[in-house]
This record gives sequence, C-alpha cells and structure tokens, in this order.
Amino acid sequence: MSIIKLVQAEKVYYKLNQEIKALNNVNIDFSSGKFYAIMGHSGSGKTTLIQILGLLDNLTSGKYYINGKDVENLTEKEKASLRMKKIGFVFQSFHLSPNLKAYENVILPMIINKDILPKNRYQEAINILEKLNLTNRINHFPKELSGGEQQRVAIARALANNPDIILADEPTGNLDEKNEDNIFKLLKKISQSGKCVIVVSHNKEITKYADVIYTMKNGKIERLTDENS
Amino acid sequence: MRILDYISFGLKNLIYYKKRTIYNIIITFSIILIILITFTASNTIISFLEENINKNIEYRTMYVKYDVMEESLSSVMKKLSKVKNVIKVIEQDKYQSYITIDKFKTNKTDGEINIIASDSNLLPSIVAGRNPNSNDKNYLICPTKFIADSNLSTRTDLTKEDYIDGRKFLNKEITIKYYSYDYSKEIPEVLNQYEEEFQLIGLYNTYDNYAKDNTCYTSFTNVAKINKNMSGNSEEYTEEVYYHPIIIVNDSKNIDSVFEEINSMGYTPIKRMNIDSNLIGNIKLICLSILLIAIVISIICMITIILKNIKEQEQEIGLLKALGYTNKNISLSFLVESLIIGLISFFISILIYTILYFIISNLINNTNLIFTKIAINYSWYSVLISFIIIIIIPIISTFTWFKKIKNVNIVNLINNE
Repeated sequence: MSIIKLVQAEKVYYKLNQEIKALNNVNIDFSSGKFYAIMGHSGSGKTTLIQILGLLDNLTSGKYYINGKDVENLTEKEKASLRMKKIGFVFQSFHLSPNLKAYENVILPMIINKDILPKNRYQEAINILEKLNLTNRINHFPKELSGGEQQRVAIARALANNPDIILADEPTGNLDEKNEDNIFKLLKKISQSGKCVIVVSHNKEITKYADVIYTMKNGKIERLTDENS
Repeated sequence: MRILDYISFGLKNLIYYKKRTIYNIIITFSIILIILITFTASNTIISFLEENINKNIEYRTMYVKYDVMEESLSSVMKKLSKVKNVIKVIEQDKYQSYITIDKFKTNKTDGEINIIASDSNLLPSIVAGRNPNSNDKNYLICPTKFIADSNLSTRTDLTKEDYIDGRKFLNKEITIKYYSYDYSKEIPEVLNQYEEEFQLIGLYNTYDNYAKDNTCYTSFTNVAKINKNMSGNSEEYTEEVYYHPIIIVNDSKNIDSVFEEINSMGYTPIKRMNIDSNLIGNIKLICLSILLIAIVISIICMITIILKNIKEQEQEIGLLKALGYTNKNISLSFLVESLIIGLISFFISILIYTILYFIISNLINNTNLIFTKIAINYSWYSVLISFIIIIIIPIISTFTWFKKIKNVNIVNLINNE
C-alpha cells in the first residue's frame, strides 16, 4: 500500500541567477514494509528528495501525498505535527544532543507526543534501545559512544514515536565497513516490521539490503531492478 | 510539553554548557548589580539634596521689597503673615547679624561668625548636644566644623586644617563681643562695647544643611537685641533705612507658590538662595540620565547574551524542528533557560547588594568624617525594576529571534548555514 506519493514534483533553486532543478518532474510512490534505496552522485538531487519527503523543505511545484493526504499546503504547525507522528529521521552526522544521555536523546521526540505519557517515556526508550543492543549504553553521553553506537541511538530516536516512515540521509557516511553493515541490517529489520524505510546513499553495499533501488541523476529519478527481500 | 519538561530541558542545557552558563550568570548579575547600585546612588543623592536643601532655612527665606512711600512696614508684614505656607515674617534687622568671638579666632581668621535668628522649628538637625528649649536665653547652635571669618566667601587660602572643631566648645560658655558706633562724627567712633555670655548647646552639620561654614543660630530675640545695640545712634544721624521684611516658608516645595503669591500682591520677593531649585533639578536630571543609560546598556547586554546563546545552538534548533518541535516549543525552552539564568543572577546580585548596603551604611554611620549622615536607602524599587527586567528581556529577545528564524529552512539550520 502506497504511503508516500510524489506527483510531478519539482524543486528549483536559484544560485548566482542560474536556475538549478534539484527535482525534475519526479513521480514516485513508496509503500509500507519496504526498504528503498535512493542512489546517485553528489548533486543528483537525492538529498533534496529526502528533505522534501521529510517535510523539511517545500516543492516548487507538484504534489506530495502522505497516506493519501496532500501535505504541501499544510501550515508549519501541521507539518511539525506530521513529522513528529509519521516520520523518523536519521542523519549522516547523527545530530544527537550532546547534553543528553542516550536514553534522553531517544525520549526527545516523545516529549512533544501527547500519546506517550510522561511516566512511560523512560521505559519506552529503554525498550527501543534494548532492541538495538544498546542496553549497556543508555546512560552514556554521545561523546562516550562509538560512531556505530551513536547512529544506532539516532535510529532509536527516529523510532521513538513509532512513525510509519523512516528517512535516512547517508546514515553510514561516517561509519566504518563493519558498522555500515550493521546499520543497513538494522534498517532492513525495521522495514520488515512494517515501516517504510527510505535511505539515501551512494554506498553500493545498500543494494544487498534494499527491496527497491532508485537512482537519481540531474533531478530525475529512475527505478532500477526490484530486489526481492 | 509540560512545564517540567521545559525546566528539565533548560537545566540540562545549562549544566552541559557549564562554562557558558557561569559566564552568563556573572555578566547578568553584574548588570543587575550595576542597576541596583546606580538606582541607590541616584536615590541617595537626590534624597540627600532634596531633604537637606529642604532643611536649609536660608533656602526657604525671602526678602520682600515694597514701595516704602505707599505702605508701612507693619502693614506689609501683616499682609505677608496671611500668605499660605509662610511660617514667619520678621524685619530684616531682626533676622541676621555678624559678631566676633575671640575664642573662634585663629592666626588666619578674625573670629567673625554670621548668626541667623531661629527657633526650634527652624533649626537644622542637631547632631550633638541638644535643641534649645524655652529656658534657653543666650544659646548658640554652631556647625560641627566651622571657620569664623568675615571674608569666608572670598578666601582661597583656607584649608581643612583651619576648621574649628565645634565639639571642643560644646556646652561651654562663649563670650561674644560687639560694638555700637557714634554716627555724629564724620567717621563713626565706637560708642559702646558689648560683651555677652552665650552657651553653645548644640551642633549641626553644614553639609546636611547646605549652610555656610561660619553660620550659627540663636534666638530671634538675641539677633534683634544685638542689631539694635550695634545700631548705636544711627537713627539720629543717618538717613532712615527701610528694612524689608523677611519671610520664611514652611517647606522648600512651597517656595515657588509663595513667590508667585507675593508677586501677585504687588511686592517683589527675592530669594536668599536662588541657585538650589535649578541645582536640584539639574542633579536629578543627571542622576536619572545615568540611571537610564545604565538600564539601557544592561538591557542591550542581556539581549546580546541571549541572542548569542540562541545563535550558538542553531543546529540544535534545526534538529528539534526536524523532530517536530514547533517554534513555540523551542522558544519556550530557550525562554525557560534564560529565566533560570536570570533568576539565579538576580538572587546573587540581591545578596551582594544587601551585603554592600549594610557594609557601606555601617561605615558611614560610624565614621567621623565631615561628609557624614548620608542616608542610604535600600532601594526596593530598584529590586522590583531589576526583577521586571530579567523577566521581560528574555521574553522579548527569545520571541524576537524566533520570529526571524521561523521561516528559515530547517536543513540550513541543521547544517548551520
């Protein structure tokens, strides 16, 4: 079932009076329970795509639907609410709060979620971290964690509000080979639990794990072969 | 988000950025302390001047010129006594005199003092000795430190060492000497010498009263008697001198209204001391200007600190927005952080201010310096103003900044562009 749909999506930037089409008439949809990989060289538009999908940026033209609802014209407050409930982000540079412990970073998105009672936040965070094999790290600050551990905490944070969609922008960009594998495996597992996982990466290793692979070039997207999971 | 969440958020941030937090607290409490001290200093100066000018009898004294051909002195005095806020109307020659006291002579001064007629209602505050009562006939009230010289206002060679310590003569008998003159001669000759014993019963501070350093006080009766004796046979041999009456106003704030009323009666009032209303006004203006500048600079410093903190955490702001935090959530988080810093700084500054207040007050009260009896009032008003500033400034700063970044691309914030 299609959870995300882009129709004739375009994103145009202007740099030094030159028009740059980061997204050029993109038509794409994403379903739950699948692991999508979006690949391409630098400047191909993949990061712009994931930012649009994550409601971090707006389309210049076209439509964007989440669960069948047009989200392009939502107010900032509505978009923020949607991000909180439906979307979990994983960034290349982890972007963990340095002043919060691992479990506190996971709790961070829960604070604004009225569906999670304050008294339950801690346990929910511990549960998620346990699933990601971080039981021994819950009280550590980010600077006390390895790169792989930090990214797993970031993934845990992305899962905090049980979103339907996980977006990851180069999640293995700052990791070694072993940790890259672990992260992709983890994201695969998450997609198998029913979530729509979309990962932007130029790392070819992702092809081993992705169900569907897209490539982007000059703002245009092209689907490569499906890979059965 | 609950209030506890905001507080927890704010505290975690403050504890993590320890160095910055300590720096901000130091700056903020210094700013608040400056406001408190400036307020207190301004209040003290203004109160000191207002109260002490207010006590100064000469400031509240006016001569009243009238047309001597049209009206008699007694008639003018009768009319003046009915003017609202006038507490005393006397003839000029019963108000003031100059006499020599041998005991007050030094190798540089001639011992002459200026005595002004007074009663217990018109005297400056007595700081040693006592106020006169109805049994005191020949009393003197002198300054705690004074110089007795007829040319005091023009002498530039006198120093602090030339001051006489009034306490040396307190409760002692003082002989005053003066002369009457025979005006029948071309050059008036001494007619009679008068010597009278006075008792110095009380001392006042000239700095409290803005009085000249050779001014002493005695009763109206004594001044009248001295001037009458000194006049000798001048009535017979000199042209009639028309003395203008003197009026004394009950309070310095009524001077202008009394002045206007006497003017409207067709007389010409002349203030004995004309400089002070402008002086107080100008000093007030300077004090208030300094205070205003201190407050403005304080506000600018506080705003700069808050905005700098927010700018340093732009990346975190971007992350929070990406996680679904609204501008309101983020604004309130930073506001709570700023308020925590503000409140901690406020309490530290109040503590230091209170300690300073007690130290300085005790210092002044226990000193024997000539510049004593300045009343420093604990400025609750400034405490309230400071408290309001530390509440309002974070509110204005935080919401002003977030209005600006409201529409900034979240990605740019996360990437700190």
